[in-house]
Amino acid sequence: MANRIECSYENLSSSFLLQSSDYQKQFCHLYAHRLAEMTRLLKPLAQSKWGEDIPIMKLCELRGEQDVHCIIIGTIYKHQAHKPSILRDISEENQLAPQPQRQNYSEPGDKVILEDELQRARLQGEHITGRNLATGIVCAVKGGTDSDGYFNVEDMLFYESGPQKSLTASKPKSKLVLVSGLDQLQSHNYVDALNMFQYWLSGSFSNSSDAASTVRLIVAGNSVRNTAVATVPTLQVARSQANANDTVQAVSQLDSWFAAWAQALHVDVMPGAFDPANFMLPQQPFHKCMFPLAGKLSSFQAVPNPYSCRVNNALIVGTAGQNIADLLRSTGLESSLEALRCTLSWGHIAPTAPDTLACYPYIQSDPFIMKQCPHVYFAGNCEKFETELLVGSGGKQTRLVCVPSFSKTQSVALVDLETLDCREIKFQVEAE
Amino acid sequence: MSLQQALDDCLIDFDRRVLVTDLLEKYKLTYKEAHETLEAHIKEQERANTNKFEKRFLVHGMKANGDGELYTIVQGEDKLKEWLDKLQNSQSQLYSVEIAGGSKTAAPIFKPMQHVEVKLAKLEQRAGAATKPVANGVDHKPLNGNAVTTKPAGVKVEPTKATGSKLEPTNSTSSKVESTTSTEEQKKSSPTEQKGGKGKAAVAATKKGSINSFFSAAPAGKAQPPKETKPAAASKAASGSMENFLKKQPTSSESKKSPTESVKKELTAAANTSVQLFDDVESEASSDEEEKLDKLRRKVVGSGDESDDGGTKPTTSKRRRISDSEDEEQPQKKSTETQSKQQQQEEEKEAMDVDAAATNETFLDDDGFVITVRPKKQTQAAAAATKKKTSPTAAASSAPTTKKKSPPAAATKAGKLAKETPKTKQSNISSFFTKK
Repeated sequence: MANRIECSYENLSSSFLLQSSDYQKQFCHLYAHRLAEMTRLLKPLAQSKWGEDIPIMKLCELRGEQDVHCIIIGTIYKHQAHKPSILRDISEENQLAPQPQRQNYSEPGDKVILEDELQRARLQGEHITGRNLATGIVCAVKGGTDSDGYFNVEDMLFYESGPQKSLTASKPKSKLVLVSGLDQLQSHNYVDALNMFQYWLSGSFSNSSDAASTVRLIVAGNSVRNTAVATVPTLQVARSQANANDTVQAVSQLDSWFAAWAQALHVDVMPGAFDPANFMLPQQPFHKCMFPLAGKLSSFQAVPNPYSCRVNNALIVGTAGQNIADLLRSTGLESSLEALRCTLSWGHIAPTAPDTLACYPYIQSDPFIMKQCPHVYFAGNCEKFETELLVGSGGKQTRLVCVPSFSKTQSVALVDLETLDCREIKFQVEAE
Repeated sequence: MSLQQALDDCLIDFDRRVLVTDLLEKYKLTYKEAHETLEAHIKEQERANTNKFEKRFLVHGMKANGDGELYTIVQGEDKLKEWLDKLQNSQSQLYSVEIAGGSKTAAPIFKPMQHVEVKLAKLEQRAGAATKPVANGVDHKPLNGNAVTTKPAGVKVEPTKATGSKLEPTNSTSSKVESTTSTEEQKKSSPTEQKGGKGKAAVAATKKGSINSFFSAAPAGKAQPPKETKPAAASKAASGSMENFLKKQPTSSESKKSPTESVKKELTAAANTSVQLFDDVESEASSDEEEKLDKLRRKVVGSGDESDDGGTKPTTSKRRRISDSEDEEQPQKKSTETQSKQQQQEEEKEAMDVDAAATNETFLDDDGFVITVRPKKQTQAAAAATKKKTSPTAAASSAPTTKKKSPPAAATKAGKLAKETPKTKQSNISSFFTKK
């Protein structure tokens, strides 16, 4: 019986663990901290890119003067006519029939506005592609004001997730398995695929050499269910109780799965959008009482969503996919991979939080800012497997991985942490 | 048993779908071993018999367009060939076998694997995972605050001794004689000392609340025997039976209660004080003599309660009942009372005691009359007691019993006293109820 290789591991998710739970605070603090923090990070980048001749100014310093060439650092606010609004929902409840929810509320006519600490200005220019921007992005824009009050953008600069440590070649090659959307409640539909997956993990399918180098499995959310619980207006109590029982049984089953898998390799389990966890980002790790069997093993751990860790010098950052799904709703971005790439270049894991994505009202920090560029950046619960090796400024290399939902595709992603190669492993059963 | 042996002995039922993964779990084999053994057996079976098996194969290979790796399950050898051609670097293994045309297979159930071919080098149990049982996620930690925690008996005994020693100064304040008698008795009877301490501990534990104080009052009374002996020790005028009673009380408790028993009772008392009280009564009231003594004591306590009630505590019928059934008296809170009141109580108790002793001599004569004959000593003592009495209520307290039990023919001094009783009795009862 072969042994799996050992490698260094460091959990870097402490910033996503909530120390207190004060939900009374306003979200303005979060935006204020995001702007302040990213202004500090963007300033040197802007000066190095555009030179120190161009002044970095505040919008209030322009005072309506025209043809002032400057750099403004601020937060994008996208004015969208169809953006969900709780106030509108309430008003419509009183009078009108509810409007059907849109899958995507981005339109070409969306107005892009830049806000700094005190003021706002509407942006226009060739570089401004409103459809591909989202509320909450902090960026630096170079340009000047015109007589109509617009800020004509000549160039834009994003943080691009900061510097990256070079990936040193590690002697024992280590690989990472990413899986999401196990959807235990529907697992009876793909029992054989699951069975193949677990014996593949254990190295039974004549793949023992590959399995030995696979050091860690990250379960990126939606392990219990992959869709929202159907809400029925009538018989709500009975329905919710039935669902609760389902969930308890599903968690119990998952516990036995994870306990078995954790004997073969290290397993990190993240909560997802439809899992029995807190709704707001960052989602806190599952309580240890939920997994009494797996929790006994030190190779199993429940981790938050987003999750960040370092395995063999490779920085791995990822989410269960809520940030990507929300971006796809609010922008014109067409694929999960594109959205993932954008968040990396914007230097923020979840820019739409707290606007359209639920998020804890931080008052002293914004933990979603990516201050260090990851080597592997993934999002779980995507429609299909997609991957790209993004080469950024300064030769930074990041493997972007859209981890497909296992319940939909019966596939997982395998990432080589040395070469950052990534491939999909599919487990399928041909229809009989 | 090996897989080969199981196959040879036909222990594996191929009417149902048999997964190779199930076999490797059961027989602790590698996939390759299980697959080869099973494949050989099936070929042999197919060659020998007309049985045909439905086989499903696990095909592994790279997709032609470089889209990744594929593990797929295909049914039948035709499909197998097709897939082997379709995939690059393809290879196949047996995945499941069942008798062709057999009954419909049940819905597959996912079983988490137990047999791992490539395992973790250091598979460790999380610290404290096995040793610390968790019930509903609640650790049974000692809580601060009002929660009552069960502690070892030794822990409880220590504070009781301390509190017992604390009681002494309060006794010494009343009189020297009292303090000496009380200390003597404490020395004599260690169980009672423990009882008293326990009572104090219970008081400390349950200081607040009427019910708590109700229960705590009873055990607190156990520290009282020295105090209850005050009137007897001080006056020396009490009857012989009263003296017997006073002597018997510590000895009976000493003889019957071993230290271990007392510790046990402490534990039970910690759980439920009222239960402990009744237990005491049951254990002590075994002999007839002791029953008599108990009656005496109850009467003494009852009269004491009546007089005490007006002073500090309101008496309820329930409480009265408890204190009757109990062998002990009221908590010692009376040290602050005035000296005159104490004297009055003592006199009342003496009178009651005399009357109670007189009842022992009651009998039916030949004509069917009830005759009560008192010993001379007692009557003299009673007379002395009545002489001492100053308040009419105290005189009345002795009267009812004498009147009841004295026959009309008997014209003694006691009879004279009995004539005076009706008025005083009424006033006594009315004053008793008004006090209540």
